[in-house]
Amino acid sequence: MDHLVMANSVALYAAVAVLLSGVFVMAFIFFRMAKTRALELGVETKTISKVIRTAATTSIIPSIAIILGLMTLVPVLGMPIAWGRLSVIGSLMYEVVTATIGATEAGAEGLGRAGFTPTVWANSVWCMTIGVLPGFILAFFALKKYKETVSKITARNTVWQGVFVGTIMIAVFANFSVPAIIAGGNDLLAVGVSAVTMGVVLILSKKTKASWLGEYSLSFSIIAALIAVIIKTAITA
Amino acid sequence: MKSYNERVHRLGRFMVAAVFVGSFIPPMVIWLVFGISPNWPAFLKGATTILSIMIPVGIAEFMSYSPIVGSAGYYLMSVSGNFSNIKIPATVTALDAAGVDAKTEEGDALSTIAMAVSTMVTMIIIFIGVLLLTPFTAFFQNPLIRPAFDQVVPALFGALTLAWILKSYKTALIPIVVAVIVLGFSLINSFFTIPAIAALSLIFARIAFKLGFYNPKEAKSAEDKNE
Repeated sequence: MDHLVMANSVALYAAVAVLLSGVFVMAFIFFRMAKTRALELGVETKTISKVIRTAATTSIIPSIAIILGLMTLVPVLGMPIAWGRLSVIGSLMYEVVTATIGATEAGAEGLGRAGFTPTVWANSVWCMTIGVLPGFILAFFALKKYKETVSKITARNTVWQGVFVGTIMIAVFANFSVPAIIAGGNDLLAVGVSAVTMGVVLILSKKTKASWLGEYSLSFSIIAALIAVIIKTAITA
Repeated sequence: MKSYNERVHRLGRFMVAAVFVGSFIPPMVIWLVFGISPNWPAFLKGATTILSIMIPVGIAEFMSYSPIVGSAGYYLMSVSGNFSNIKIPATVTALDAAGVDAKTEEGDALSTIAMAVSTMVTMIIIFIGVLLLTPFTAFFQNPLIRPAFDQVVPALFGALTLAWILKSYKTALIPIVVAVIVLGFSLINSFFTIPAIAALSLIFARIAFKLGFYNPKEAKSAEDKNE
């Protein structure tokens, strides 16, 4: 049997649907728990609503970009596996790397390339599944202790606490924005336009006291960058 | 406070264990329903290669990402994936828009709300993508659209980096300079650039802090909370 017949079977759709439903329910339980906690702490309902709206709108465009990843994985691994892996747990780069290692170790020339038999496909799926083990073990065993240690280190001084978290956060952001600046071309255009848009939106929001603008700052910035790249592609095509 | 924290860790650990076990359902279906038993030697070889990459990557991600989100948010992020391209940007922007400091108890609860909402929205959109993959494929194959969507991640982080420069240019200075040096000269394997930039920046930031480079503005909201 061709592996894609199995890969797109009802049984696998059902298996993935069970897994995703479980994660969705857990996300909802955490949502309820945190909302109750926020209300107990005296956070106003309108602040909670603002957080919900901003998180939701900001997640939309990057999530649409994941569908691009779906298009890459579906022809090789089948829809249910691609859907399950990209909706939860993984990300495109991780899935492509682990699935390719699984395929080559089982004798294929690459992911979906010559020799990609049903057994090789199964090995790709097993390898994608096992690769997240280190992250899960750390979250399970070490998160509580590590968070306590970080709080202890930073608790003595609020200035250092702010600098500590801010430095790590900007290190993460710069890790993705600096290579795009160095790469030039569309990458540089996207970084530049989104950064300028963010600056304009934040300044406008402050000057006009329109705090709602801040909620959409990231979405506006990404949309402006996408439009700029589309215009550049159209002009240079 | 303690009981909420305890509940978060208990539920979080349960969730991580349940999702890890649950993630084996698809390969088990392939084995038990379709009769394709795992090729154990190939699996062991693949798993060894993957774990030799993922153990250091997992440690690096854990150490870098967990201080910037609350505990509940981190558990949720661990099982729901897409850390850097969706979950962290959505959470950071949501807290900024609400004007709440992530380091406070309120910030912890709100960052969990943001993470949970982001998780659910992502799942719904990808589900729509699954249902409508054919029209989506046509949309993305448009030669004007595809290159634009390839730039979502740079666009996200360009905007977030600038937002932080405006918020606290002194805090932003050191990690940006370190990132330019580390990435510009390709000093480190790309799997480990985040923890390397974070660790080096923290060392320099600590020295700058001792020299009095930062002022109380860098911790304004943390102080407001303590007062």
